[in-house]
Amino acid sequence: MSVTVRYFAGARAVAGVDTETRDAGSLDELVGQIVDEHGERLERVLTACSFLVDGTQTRDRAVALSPGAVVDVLPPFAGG
Amino acid sequence: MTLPPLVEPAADLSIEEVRRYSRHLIIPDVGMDGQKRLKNAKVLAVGAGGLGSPVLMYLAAAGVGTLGIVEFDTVDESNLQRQIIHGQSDVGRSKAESARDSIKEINPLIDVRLHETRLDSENVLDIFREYDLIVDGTDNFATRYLVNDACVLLDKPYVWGSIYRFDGQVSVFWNEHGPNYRDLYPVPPPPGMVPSCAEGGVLGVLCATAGAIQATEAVKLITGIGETLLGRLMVYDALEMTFRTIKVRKDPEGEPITGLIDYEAFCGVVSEEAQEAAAGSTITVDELKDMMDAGKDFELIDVREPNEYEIVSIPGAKLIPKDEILSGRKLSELPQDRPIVLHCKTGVRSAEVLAAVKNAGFKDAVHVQGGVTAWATRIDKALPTY
Repeated sequence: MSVTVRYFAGARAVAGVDTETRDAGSLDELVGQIVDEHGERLERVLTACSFLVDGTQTRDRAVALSPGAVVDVLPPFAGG
Repeated sequence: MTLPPLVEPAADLSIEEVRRYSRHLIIPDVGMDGQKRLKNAKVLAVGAGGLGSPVLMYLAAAGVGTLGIVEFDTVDESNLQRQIIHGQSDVGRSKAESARDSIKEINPLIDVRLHETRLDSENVLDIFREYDLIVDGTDNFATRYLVNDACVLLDKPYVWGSIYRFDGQVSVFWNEHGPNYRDLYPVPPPPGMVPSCAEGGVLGVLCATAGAIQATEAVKLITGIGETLLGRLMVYDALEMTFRTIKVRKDPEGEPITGLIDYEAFCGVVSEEAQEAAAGSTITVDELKDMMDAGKDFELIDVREPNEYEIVSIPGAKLIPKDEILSGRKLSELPQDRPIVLHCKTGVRSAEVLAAVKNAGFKDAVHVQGGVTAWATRIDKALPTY
């Protein structure tokens, strides 16, 4: 099932792309795939990131992804 | 999301005000009505730093009648690369007073209120209550969660902005009508994981881009024009030169905010592992100097990044960046035959690394309290701090 992943800020920097398409049925499966592809540096960044699934922040990695879902990967920062 | 105007219009504008704001008055969407709303508005800037500078200067120029400033800090030379509300002659002065002087120079008609205190759970509600709108430009996670929760409790909207290196994020949060900050970032990142601008740096002009968006949203909220960023996050990438907006919805699983908490404890300064590792294994820069002078055999390891090492370093220190040790890649470069002394800029990162090297079996490793900054301020005052 095709889902779109969008990387922002530091996540974009380590992934090297801003958008990619994946076949994944759950957030867990998707995270496994992108870590395999982009390596441990992304894995480290992901520990602090918010995942927005179609705009809703989701901490439950078991959540199912519907076909066409958009997952935004957002690292937090607090500078001002 | 289109919202009704946040502020009622003032009774009238003086002739002086009509002259000053004429370029606003001739825009049909702002007009006399919008300008009178700006005149009547009370906006509080939390922080007069990188984001607070453009926010305060533009809102003053725009004619926001009352501007509050929460700021306890003084102007440092390293602020001037981006905090354009302060100037060379302000170094060492109160940031709040320096910001007030700049505002008065831009627009003497503005009433400026200073809150020269550190915002905390005790004072936040009393300070926020006086204002229609809050603009958050602080520099740490603890204050950001405090600002959010206080705004939720008081049913106030706020314009949130955050910057790091080349990246900016801006949104409007208003729990009554849309998401709040916890719907985007429910919990803070692990302590020590996300560097601050002081540790990681920030492109100076990024403040102008992000702060200008915040000021724009403030004007729109006050006057009730246009589509605000409520329910959307604006993400700016200065290197790619892209603006992307992301839809943000309320988290149906989000826990309701019913009171203020201990935000320092919530966000932590360093992780529990690092605190445990550092207990009894922390030395001061004076002790480090004594060890050097006594000719003790040890390896001093600097866990900062190469560009920081270039700016200033402690003599004899070997550079192995934090991530190289935490990932295990350079663990083999640590000496087995003599004690390890770790340091970073201020002692936060070195405490995290200390926990990792202790776990890897280097039981007698220690780290240096205050890092190279303490070294430069106590031992070798000729060295720069950054």
